[in-house]
Amino acid sequence: MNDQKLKIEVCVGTSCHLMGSNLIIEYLERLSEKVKAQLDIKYISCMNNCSQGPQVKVGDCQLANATPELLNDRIERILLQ
Amino acid sequence: MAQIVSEVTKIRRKVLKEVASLLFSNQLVAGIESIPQKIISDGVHSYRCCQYKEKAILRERIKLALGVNPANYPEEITLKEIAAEVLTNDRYKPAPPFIYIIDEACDHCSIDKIIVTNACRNCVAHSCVNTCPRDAITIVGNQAFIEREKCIECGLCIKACSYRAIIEIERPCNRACSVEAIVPGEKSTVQINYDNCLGCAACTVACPFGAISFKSEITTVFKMLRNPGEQVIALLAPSLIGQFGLSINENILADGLKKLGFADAYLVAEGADQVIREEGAELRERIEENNGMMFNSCCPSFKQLVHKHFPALIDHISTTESPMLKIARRLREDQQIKTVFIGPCISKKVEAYEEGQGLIDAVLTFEELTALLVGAGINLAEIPEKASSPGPYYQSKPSNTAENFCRAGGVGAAIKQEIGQDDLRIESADGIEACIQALNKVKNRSLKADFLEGMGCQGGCIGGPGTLIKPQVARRLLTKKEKS
Ligand code: FES
Repeated sequence: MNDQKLKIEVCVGTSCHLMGSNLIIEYLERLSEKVKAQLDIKYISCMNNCSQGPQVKVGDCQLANATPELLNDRIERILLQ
Repeated sequence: MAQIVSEVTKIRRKVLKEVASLLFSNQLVAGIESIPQKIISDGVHSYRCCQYKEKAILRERIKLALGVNPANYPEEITLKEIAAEVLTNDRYKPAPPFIYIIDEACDHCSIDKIIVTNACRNCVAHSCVNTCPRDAITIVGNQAFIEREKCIECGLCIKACSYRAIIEIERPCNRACSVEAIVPGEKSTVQINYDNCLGCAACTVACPFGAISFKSEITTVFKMLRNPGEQVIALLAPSLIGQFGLSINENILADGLKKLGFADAYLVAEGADQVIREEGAELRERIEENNGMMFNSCCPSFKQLVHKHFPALIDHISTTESPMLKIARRLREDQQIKTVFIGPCISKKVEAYEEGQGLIDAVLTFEELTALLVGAGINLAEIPEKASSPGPYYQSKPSNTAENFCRAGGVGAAIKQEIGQDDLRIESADGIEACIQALNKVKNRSLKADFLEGMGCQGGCIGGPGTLIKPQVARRLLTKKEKS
C-alpha cells in the first residue's frame, strides 16, 4: 500500500528553516486527513541544495525555493491525475 | 507583527546568510561584490524594473547587513572598502538608530489617502461631488477629481459613490506605525522621525517592498567569536522555544552555539525569575505607599512609548532592570566575558546600546543568529539529540512562569502569582496601538489596575520582528511545555 502513496520529503535543515520550511510543514499538517492518507511525508535534515531553500521533493521531483502554494499545485496535479 | 516569510523577508535573510558565509570563510572582502549577482541567480524574484536597480538595492541591504549606516557610504565607496573597514576598525560598532529606510527600494506609494479609481463612470448623479463638505471634488476628463488642498479626508465621498469607485488607502508603513514616526520624505519617499520612533520595527515587517530594514550586528558578533582572547556568552531570550525548528531543543542549540564559538549559554528567563521577585517587591511597596499603578520595564518599545509619548507617566515604570540586563549584570560580576543577547527583538538593540552600560556587547535576532549558523556551515538538524546540554551550558533552571514572559499576559500573570493576592488588578496590552489605548486610560484615570503589562508586539515577544516561527506555533509549544 505504502508504495502507492505520494512521497513527500521536506528539508528541515537550518538553511531551509531560515527560508521558511516551517511554512511548508504547517501547510502539510493542515491538509485534510483524506489527502494526508495519500501522502508519505518525511522530514530530511539536508537535501544538498541549501542555497535555494526551502527544498521539497514530491515523488522524484525536487522543488527549489518551495512555497506552500507551489507545493499545493504539485500535490493537486499529481493526486488528481 | 511577526514575520510571515515573504519574498522581502527571504531577500533580507539571503543577504545576511551570504555575508555570514563570507565572514566564516574569511572571504568577506574578496567576495562581497559578487553577492548581488549570486542572490539574483539563486532565484530572487526580480520585481524591480531592471537588474541595475535590483543590484543597487541589494548593495544597500548588504551595507545594512554589515551594520553600517548606508547614508554614510555613498555609491563611490565600494562594498569591498566598507567590508575592509568593518573588519579592521576596532571601534566599529553598529549604533542606533537601527531602523533604516532604503530610499531606492521605496516605491513612493501614494501619500494621498482618498483616491478615485478607474471604476468611476462619471455618472449622472455625481453623489461624490454633492456630498463633499469642502467642494473638493470636480469632474475632470470624464472622472471625479479630488483637489488635495481642499480634501480633509473625511471619507464621505467613499460612502456616497454607487460604484465604490473611491477608496481609502494608506501607506503600509504608516499604518503599521502607531506613533507617527513615519513621515513623508523628499521626492515622495518616506523618512523616520526618530524623535517619535520606538524602534519596535513594525514598519520593517509591514513594507511590502522591503524598503525599511535594520542594521545587523552579525559582523560584530563574528569578530568577538573569532577573537581568541574573548569568552563570548550567549544569552537566550525566553521566546527561543521552537525558533530554530520544531525538533531543535535547547541542548541541540547549545551544541550549535558551541560550534559557532560561544563559550557558554544562559537562559534569560533566569533573569526574568529575578525580575519577578524584585518587581513584585517594588509593587508591594507601591501599593502600601499608595503610589499608584506600576508598569513593567522589560519591553523596550513599551518603555520608549511611555518616555516619548506619555512623559507624565514615566514614574509608573518599574525601576527594576530588564531580564536581559539582570542576567548580564550577574554574570559579569565575577567573570571577564562578552555577552550577546539573542532574541526576537530589534528594540533590544537600542536598549543594550543606550541602557546597557556596557553589560551587553551585541544583540542578535533569532534570524541573525540562524544566518550566522548557516554561514558557518552548522546545520542544527544534523546534530544528534542528546539528553543533556554540553558542558556548563544552562546552569540554572528557570521557572515556567519566567519562560512565559515571552507571551502576552505572561509578565502580568507572573506578578500576580508573586504577590499572591486574588484581588490584585492586572491589565495587559499587546501591540503599540493597544498600549497607547491603555496609557490614554491611565492618563485620564479610567484604567483601574495595580499593574499594567505593556508589550510592543502583538502576542508579546513571540510576535517579535526577529522571530522565525509564527506566534501561534510558539504559543502552542509553550503551553505543551508547561503541561509536561
Ligand atoms: S538545509 Fe535544506 S538543502 Fe541543505
